[in-house]
Amino acid sequence: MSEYDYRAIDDFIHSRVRLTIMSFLAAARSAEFTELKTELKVSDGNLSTHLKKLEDAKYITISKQFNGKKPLTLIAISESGDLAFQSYVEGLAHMIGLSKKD
Amino acid sequence: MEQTNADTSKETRSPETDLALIRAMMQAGRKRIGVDGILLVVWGVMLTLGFTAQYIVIMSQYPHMILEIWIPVYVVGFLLSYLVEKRNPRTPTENNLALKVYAMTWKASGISIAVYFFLSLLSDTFDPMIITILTTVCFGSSFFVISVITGLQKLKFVAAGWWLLTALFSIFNTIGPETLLILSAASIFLLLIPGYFLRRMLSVEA
Repeated sequence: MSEYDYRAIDDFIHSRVRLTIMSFLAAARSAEFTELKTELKVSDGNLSTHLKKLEDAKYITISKQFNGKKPLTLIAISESGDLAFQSYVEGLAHMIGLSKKD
Repeated sequence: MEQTNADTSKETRSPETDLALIRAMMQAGRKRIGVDGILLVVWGVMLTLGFTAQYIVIMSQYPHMILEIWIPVYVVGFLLSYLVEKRNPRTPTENNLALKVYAMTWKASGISIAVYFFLSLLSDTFDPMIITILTTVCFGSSFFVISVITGLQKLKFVAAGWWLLTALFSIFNTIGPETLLILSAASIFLLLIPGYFLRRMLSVEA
């Protein structure tokens, strides 16, 4: 196993639910609240709490939109979120010796 | 997608299990958006071939062929698009505004250009300037929409590239054989290459 500074692990992303959210958004770029809830199989409250933490870290943006009369909550990954996620994945890969830098 | 319950924080975690989770969720994310760039690559290649073939025909002694070039381009393009969609089915568009908008935008662009092209040729009112402007406006708008729904800001530069061509063709108001070469190059640099990078970016294994 390669040496890796555990302090470099991003706590905002490290939570399993938040890691799942970030992984999904890193590929999908954006998703609706209900869609994320279905994918992650978590409750509304749980998802909201984790989304709030990611939003506070400026890793995602949350906006309210309308599809006709139906309100939608759209969650999108931000550029800083993208960078943080890439760095997190690189860190994990580094831990098990898969890093490109190795 | 494999069943992945994110709310299992108490289970044993390791970098390996985290990477497996990341990989599974990224695959789900890619399926969800469907913007994997492959269709842009397909149409980038087809349009480059079409514009280049038309340029060669116009500059050569061959009789002018338009339908003979563009019908195969459209047929092969739509056939390849169908095969790509069949091989990589997207998640249902229900409750997926982004995917609906993405699909609608490209379909609207493709259908508008195809309808004008074939109807104007059949009614003998074909104007190369109109289809050039229509194509660049539609492609620019489509990339702008993709940029907004995916959050990939760099795609706005691609949209700007198409709109810059719209402005240039409108200002100079002349369409000649060189226009075909410009559109051929645009199909490479503003369709095929962005599609390739989009695909590469979203295909990166976690």
